[in-house]
Amino acid sequence: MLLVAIIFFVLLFLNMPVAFAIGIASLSFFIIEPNLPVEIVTQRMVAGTQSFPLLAVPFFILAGNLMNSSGITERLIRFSNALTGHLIGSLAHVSIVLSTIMGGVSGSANADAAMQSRILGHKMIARGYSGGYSAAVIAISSLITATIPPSIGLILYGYVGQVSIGKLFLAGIIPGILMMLVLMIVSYLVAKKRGYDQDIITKRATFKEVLIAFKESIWALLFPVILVVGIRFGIFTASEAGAFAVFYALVIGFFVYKELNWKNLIQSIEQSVTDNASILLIIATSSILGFLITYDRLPQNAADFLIGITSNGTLLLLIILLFLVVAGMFIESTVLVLLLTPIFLPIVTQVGVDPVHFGILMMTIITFGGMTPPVGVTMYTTTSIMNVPIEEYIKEAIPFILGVLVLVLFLVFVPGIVTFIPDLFM
Amino acid sequence: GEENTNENASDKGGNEEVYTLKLGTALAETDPIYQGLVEFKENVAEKTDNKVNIEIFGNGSLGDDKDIIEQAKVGTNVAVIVDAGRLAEMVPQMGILSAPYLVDSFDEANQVVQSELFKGWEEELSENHNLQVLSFNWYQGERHLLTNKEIKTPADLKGLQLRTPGAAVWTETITAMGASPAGMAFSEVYPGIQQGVIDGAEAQHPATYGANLHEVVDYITKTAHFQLVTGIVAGADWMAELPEEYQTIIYEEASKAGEKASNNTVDSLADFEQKMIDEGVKVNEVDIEPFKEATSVVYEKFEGYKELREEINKILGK
Amino acid sequence: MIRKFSQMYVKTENFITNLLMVGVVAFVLFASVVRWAGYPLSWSVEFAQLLFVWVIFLGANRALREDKHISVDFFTKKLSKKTKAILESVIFLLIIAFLFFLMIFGIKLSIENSVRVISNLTVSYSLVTMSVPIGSTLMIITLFFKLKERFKSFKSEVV
Ligand code: NA
Ligand code: NA
Repeated sequence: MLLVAIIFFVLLFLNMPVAFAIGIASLSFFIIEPNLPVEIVTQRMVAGTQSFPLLAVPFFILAGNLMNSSGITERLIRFSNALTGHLIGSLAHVSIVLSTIMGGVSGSANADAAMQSRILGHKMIARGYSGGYSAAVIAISSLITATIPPSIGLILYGYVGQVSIGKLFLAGIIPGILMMLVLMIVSYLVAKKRGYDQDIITKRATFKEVLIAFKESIWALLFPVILVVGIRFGIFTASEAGAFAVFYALVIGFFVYKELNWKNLIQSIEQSVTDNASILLIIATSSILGFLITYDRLPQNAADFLIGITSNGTLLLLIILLFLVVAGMFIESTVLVLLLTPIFLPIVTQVGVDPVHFGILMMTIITFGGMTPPVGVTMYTTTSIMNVPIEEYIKEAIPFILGVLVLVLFLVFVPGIVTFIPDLFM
Repeated sequence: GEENTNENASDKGGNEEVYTLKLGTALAETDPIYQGLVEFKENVAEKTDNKVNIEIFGNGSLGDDKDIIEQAKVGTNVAVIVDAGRLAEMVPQMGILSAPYLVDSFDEANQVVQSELFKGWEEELSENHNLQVLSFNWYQGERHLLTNKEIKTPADLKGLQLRTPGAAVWTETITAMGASPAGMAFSEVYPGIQQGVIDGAEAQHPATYGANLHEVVDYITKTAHFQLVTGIVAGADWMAELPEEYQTIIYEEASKAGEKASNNTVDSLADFEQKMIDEGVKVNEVDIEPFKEATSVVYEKFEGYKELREEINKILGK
Repeated sequence: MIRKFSQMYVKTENFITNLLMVGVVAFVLFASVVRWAGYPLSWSVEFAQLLFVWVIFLGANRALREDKHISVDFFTKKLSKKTKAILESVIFLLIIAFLFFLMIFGIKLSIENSVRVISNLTVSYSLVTMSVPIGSTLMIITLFFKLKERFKSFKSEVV
């Protein structure tokens, strides 16, 4: 497996698409292991896509793209602006609030960050914010989408770990809101110190203006609510909720906001086909790697090793979370959910950790890895769209990273914050 | 890591090769069959002086049964414990073992799988489809219905979507009972019922308990629509590469462990039922005659099954 | 002639993948509506998954053509144009080799195990499996075109 890892990293750093890097690295294992016929490579790729809950992924991608072209996103930006536009570092707050209310409809943290880099990134730099600061705000605030429903990561976690997706969705709300507050505080402090927005007269939106913006975007704001309620009461499965989301965005776009037309509908579909393929191809080749990891008994060895270290529950949880932090720095979060949930969930439940609590922590941490060096897909996406040097990003991301870590530790030691809502409603 | 691989496949250090067989099952560790597999593994290791190493992968972690069968076929060192219905894609007659109300107990089922008739099918499987049965005497219990709606007659099943393993004879059985069959991996059943993708499933007590399905259904209706007898299946080419002596040990130990595990299953069924009742599920006895009647049509859906049933009845002296 | 043909091909592929995408959504929506109405379709999940696997592997070719696959250019973006072009060509060749494996062994698998059926559809599972070798074949062709392009631009630069 060491050879597989080395090949993977070499290819990845030579700019080979991630999906192929994983595939070729995995294939090397088949070539040196005589007991494994190459046919299995194809089989695993296919099998990795044949799961009903996974259909939620393309649906939410399409719904996200439709929201962008149907005017929903634009109204949400206006609403975020009305709420936070008067604060110092206003565009940073807009990005943070926008990530919170859009949730994971955009498909993934990466999609959310990509969309905001295009829409907000250049505006922030034009406003005089440093490139590193702007990119860091957009990238790291997309972490909020990892837990605010609907979150594709939580869907996958619930599916693999047999944990109620409805409960996970409810559990993600408060951590998501706390994450929003923490990031707003950090970006405010940094903006204030730098003297951002000094020359701009920032008038607080009147209550009436906020109300108007709220009314304008009510259909968009209602959207996550409908999904959560629908899944909670068993009206939808996660995949059906995704299909419904597409339908909803179509209706709002065509008939309510009337901004959707044949042309941008087709564009949204085209965009979704390639977005979906690029994500699912990674999932497909990861499932080859996932098979090899099982075949080589890595999970059992990891479990034996961990339980050998300590039987103290909290300590074990912290060790696992630390491992996830490191793993998240290198590997895509979707891949990690699929690979690591079956390994770690049984271990932590054995020592009395709530599966819902663990799910929220795990998703937050591994998604966070995408925003940090060395291999952060979200980091690369934002910096490349916004043309910001990585070094600058890393430097400016530090206060945000610290903020996130403090919050995560808080969530670890006060599980009630996470489990309170699901226990109340389900 | 790499060390592991070498040790598994071609250890040049000793004089003899070490062979590793990866054995997958959807069952959980609490299942008597799972415990039997562990015993099988240990006995084989002992008898072959640790030269044949069987690794067990529970809870479907090695993959879906059908995927493992496919892997075994193309030459991977994997095996899986499966029912005959799934093998019917290759040898259609085998499917009759999973047909409704064919036999009434493990003893009867065991007579069938030990018969010359069945051995012939095993040979066909090995010769034409590269799959080798190690032993086919692993009894898992009788299959019952798991639903949230109370079931008294087949009519109550109308409009319900129940998960079955993806094999034609099971699908036809569920359809004949009046429900609508849904194929999905056993590991997806729990979230499936919980989220309402499906309305229920059908399973034997140890598996129901092992997958905690009694947590997500209100009723277990004891239809006993068939006796689940399963076998361990590996790749025939892969098996043939082993020294004769090891092959013999594997077949013998598989058969012995299977017998013992089956008896344990029979003894444990009542325990599992009681545990699930204690945890809040309602277990209902039901008049099975209407279900027998409703499902007799299944034998007409498959070519030659009516005649096969008569032949099997002769073997059983019925 | 070739250009006209390839344009037509791209149009067709785009149309098919769009249609498949819409098909998966429409189908799951329809299936859930009839499920609420009390008439579950036993083949619905599997049919949606069958369409889905084709959206992925045909879509992967489209994403390749449009350079939409996720990659990390952090370490390579400072290289000279020439080195980059060479490196890219090597990467393309490696991917072609990988896809070639997928094509050959995907076809082999589809043939060897064609008796396997999709549970509730009673059609061969090879309909699912074949998406990989076919998608791979298309991607190989796409990559050859890309190689040719790189080669051309490289040559014109030298002149
Ligand atoms: Na943001
Ligand atoms: Na989300």
